[in-house]
Amino acid sequence: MWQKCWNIRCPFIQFLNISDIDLNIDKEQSLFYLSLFTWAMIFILITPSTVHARTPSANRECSTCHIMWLNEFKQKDKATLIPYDPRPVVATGKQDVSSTEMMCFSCHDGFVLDSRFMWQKGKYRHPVGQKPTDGIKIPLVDGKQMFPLNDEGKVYCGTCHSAHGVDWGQSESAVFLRMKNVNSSLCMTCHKERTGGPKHGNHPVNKSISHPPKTLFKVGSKFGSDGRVVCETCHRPHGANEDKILVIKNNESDLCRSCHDDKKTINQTKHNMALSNPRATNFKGKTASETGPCSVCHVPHDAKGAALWARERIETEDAAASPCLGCHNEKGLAKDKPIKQHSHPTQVAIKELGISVTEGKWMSKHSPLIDIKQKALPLYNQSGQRVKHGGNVSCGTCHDPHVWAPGKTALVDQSTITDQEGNGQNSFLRITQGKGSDLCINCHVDKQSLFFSKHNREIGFRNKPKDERGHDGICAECHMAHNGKGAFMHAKADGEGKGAVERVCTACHKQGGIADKKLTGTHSHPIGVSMTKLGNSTNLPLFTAEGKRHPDGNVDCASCHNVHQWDPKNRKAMSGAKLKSEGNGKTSFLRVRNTKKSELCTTCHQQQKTILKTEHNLNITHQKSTNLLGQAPHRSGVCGACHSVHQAQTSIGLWARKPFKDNQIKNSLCLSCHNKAGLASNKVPPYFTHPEQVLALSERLRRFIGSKILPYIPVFSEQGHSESMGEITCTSCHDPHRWTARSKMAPGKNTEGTVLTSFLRNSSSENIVCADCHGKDALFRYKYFHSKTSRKRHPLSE
Amino acid sequence: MIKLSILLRYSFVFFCISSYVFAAETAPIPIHPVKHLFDIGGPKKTLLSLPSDVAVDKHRIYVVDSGHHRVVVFDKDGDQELIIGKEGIRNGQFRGPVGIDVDSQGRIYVADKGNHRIQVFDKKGKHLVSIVTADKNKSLVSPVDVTVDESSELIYVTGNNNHKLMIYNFPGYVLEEWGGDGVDEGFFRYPGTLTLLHDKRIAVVDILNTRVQVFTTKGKLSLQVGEWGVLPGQLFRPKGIAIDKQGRFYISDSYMNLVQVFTDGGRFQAVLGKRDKPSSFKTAAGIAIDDDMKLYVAEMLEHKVSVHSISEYK
Repeated sequence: MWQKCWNIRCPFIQFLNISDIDLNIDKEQSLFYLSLFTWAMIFILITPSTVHARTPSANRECSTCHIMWLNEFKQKDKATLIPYDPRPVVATGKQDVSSTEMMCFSCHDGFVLDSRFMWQKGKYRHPVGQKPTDGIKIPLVDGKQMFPLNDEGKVYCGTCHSAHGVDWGQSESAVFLRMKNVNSSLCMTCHKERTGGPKHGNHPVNKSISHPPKTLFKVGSKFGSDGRVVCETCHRPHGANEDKILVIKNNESDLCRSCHDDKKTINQTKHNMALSNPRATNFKGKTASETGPCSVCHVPHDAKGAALWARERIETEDAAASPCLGCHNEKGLAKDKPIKQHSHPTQVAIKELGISVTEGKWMSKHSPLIDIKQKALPLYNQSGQRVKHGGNVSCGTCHDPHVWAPGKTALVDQSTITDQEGNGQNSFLRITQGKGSDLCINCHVDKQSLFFSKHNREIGFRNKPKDERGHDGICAECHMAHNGKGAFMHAKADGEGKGAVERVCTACHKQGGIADKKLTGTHSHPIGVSMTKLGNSTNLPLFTAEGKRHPDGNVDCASCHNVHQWDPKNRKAMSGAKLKSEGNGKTSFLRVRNTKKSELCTTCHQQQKTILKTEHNLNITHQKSTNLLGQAPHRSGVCGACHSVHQAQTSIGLWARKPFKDNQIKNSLCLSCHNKAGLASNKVPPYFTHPEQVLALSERLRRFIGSKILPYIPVFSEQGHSESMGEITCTSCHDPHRWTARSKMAPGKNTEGTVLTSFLRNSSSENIVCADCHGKDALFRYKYFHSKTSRKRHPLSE
Repeated sequence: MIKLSILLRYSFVFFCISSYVFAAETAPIPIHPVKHLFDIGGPKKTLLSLPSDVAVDKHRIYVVDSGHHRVVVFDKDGDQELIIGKEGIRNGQFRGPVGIDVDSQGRIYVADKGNHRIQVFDKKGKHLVSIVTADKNKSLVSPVDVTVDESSELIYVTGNNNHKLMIYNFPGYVLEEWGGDGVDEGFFRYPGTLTLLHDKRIAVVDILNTRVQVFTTKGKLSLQVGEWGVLPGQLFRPKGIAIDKQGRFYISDSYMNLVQVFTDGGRFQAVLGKRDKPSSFKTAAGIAIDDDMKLYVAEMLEHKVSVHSISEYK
């Protein structure tokens, strides 16, 4: 046994510097020395001297701690002052008395070494006498546990501590730990399951904080190098004051607040569960009064996902929103504040708003129009973690659940807190809304131009009665961030219309509405038209029935209009910032300026662009003519000369001019100019119409029957709708937007046409419906159809 | 021949050991009666926390309340009279004080270990002076205990980190240093409490050498009391020392939780106890005895000072 004792690196032996003593002696020698020792003992016992020197002894030094190794205990004929009791003093299994609290304290009481602080206040310590939980994995070294358990597999003092075999540098603390505990590395070796950070439901460790709180240092809390948070920041393995070996009591969340002091404002809010829901428990069944207000929502370990969440979550695609929705649903704790349909979207990348985020700093591609300082708000990744680069919008972007009103820290009467009703000045918003909807504009920088338009209620609705809702900024006139009444988080009751956007617009643009002077009229551009079905494409926004942008969506009001910007080319344009401002093709909240060339119309109606160099472009032939809105072609645009998107005269063709009287509506549109008093008085065919008694088949029907590729010759009902079988009208033969079927080119001036031009749809008689009756040269006799003499001879014309 | 020689040697050794064993003392542990009177403080730690040392005079009990970093003064009935200091570094404040002494004028001397100084207070608790405990090399020393020799105006201080007994005069200059780190006579391994004998010799508890060393005023070792072990008269963690009127040594042991009595010549006399069992003084640290043969024991982890009456010696 002593051989063993000498070979170990006992600190007391080191102290005496006698570790090099050679004990390799044979049996004979040992007997000789034993007899000599016995005589020496007898001599000492009978010597009366009271002063004697002492030599070091293995028995003595080891038993400084291993008291039960003393030989005196083996001498049964002698009464020792304390009984021989190698059994555990505390319930730690087969623990030797050398690693008991009493033995440690017998030196660490301030007289030899000073660890009094560990006993001074705390009564809690790292558990001993327990088997490690399943989550704790003690690493193996050479097949042996690095931190040994006792024979019963339980933790005991010697699991972490050993006076032997630990190579400590001079500068290290001599606490006889089995490995250095720099930055709580020893703790983390076993408790690895607690070190994964928020991703694994744990409080972050090894994350530096700039100013470790002094209050924690005073109670023995430790921070790692660079001020990093480590296990011992919150826990003390010995001498802790609080259950869970916490450094300070946390039943009022004092420990949490030691670092998260900025969150203490939650006490003055409805989110303080101790006030609003004192019986609310976290998933561990703890109430705010038991474990502190923070703990109802957050736990430092074993949390449920992001934000160290301690409550039920509503799992959504947006992990950052899940904790909020856990309460803010119709059955949750905050059932009076549920988040329903038509709420601000989350999981939207901030870059979609033209904002790039690097190192937490925001940079918008849209320059602010008024003097606001864009504030970087929290953004989140897919896992719900806050990120410094890019990131998505979530609840926490706009809301700080710990602060009721930003910038206001004054105490409020707690009895009134549960009755708090929010508005744009509070409601846990990170930025107060103010008149300018500052919070909304912080992200939606591009929407600022609304301020300079009639859609700014301060301009457009000044004389109108206030909405029943409290005004929480300009945006709130039309939008509610949560639980809107329709698409686009609409703040008003929807109007009528086919499209989701249309219904939002018609909430105001209706008879008796706020914008009743700006109605779309009976005949207006169709809504809900699928561009895909029409075989067209556009780079204008299209919308689903629910009002969401989608490339395969339908045309809606917002396809042409950007309700937030009066002039599409000038965000700062002030021309629309007056109640009496009247729009034109360059303004009117259009997405694209619609000038001479009707750029907006031709964005979708690209095939009609061919009109530009034809004589049907009134900018060429009749610059001074006006449509029924009194607009000359240069103002209305080439399309607007004949068509009116809103307030049109007819549903067919959305005619902007006065139709000529004719039974066939399609013809009446053409005749509005091609009459003797019209703009095209020199192009008035005496017989402009095909005998209406003849009903022709559309090329679609003919193709169906004949299975051939046939030229397009539309036929129409009397009301002007394209039919499978109908009348032959002007537009059956003529495409008013294209001078010649063979080419997109046109002369760009008033020209006398030929069989190959003249806006004729086809340059060949092959397979055209005309040929069925008029022979294969029908086309070449094109003038025959409008000729007085020729037509008379035809039996059908009589 | 060799075998015979070995046999003889074995026989001789067996004879010696047998003689020693049968001649050894088998008597029960001698107990000197002590009666528990009352406790000051207790497990709630509100009054006292980790009391490390105690001193007494005719009227008062002075306790180092080390857990609260203060000194608490009680009357002889255990009623609190005065609190001196709190945690801090200013004069009148303490950081981890350990030992205490009181002189005939009621002046209180406290070993303010964490602040490396001896602080002196008047009997009303007013701070009088602080003596920085430095050695002759001007290195700071953490004092464990202090005792004052009024007649020669000397202050004796045990140093925790230099393993020395240091002697200061009243202005606070270090006059002498005795001992040092070692196991031989006159050296120390963690000197602890100390006290003056009636003949002005100084007795120092040498904790890890498990003995009390008594020095003359010239620094010469005159006596060693106690030795390593767990038998009567042996020490394991000696911490406190007190002298009664007859010059007996009372030495507390913080691991064995008892107080042993030695004669003025250093010979073991008895263990304080009741009937035939030693009394338990849990984690006994500093102790004191007054003229009425009352024993005051600072029981650190019990957070109390227990007061006992020692029976007369026959």
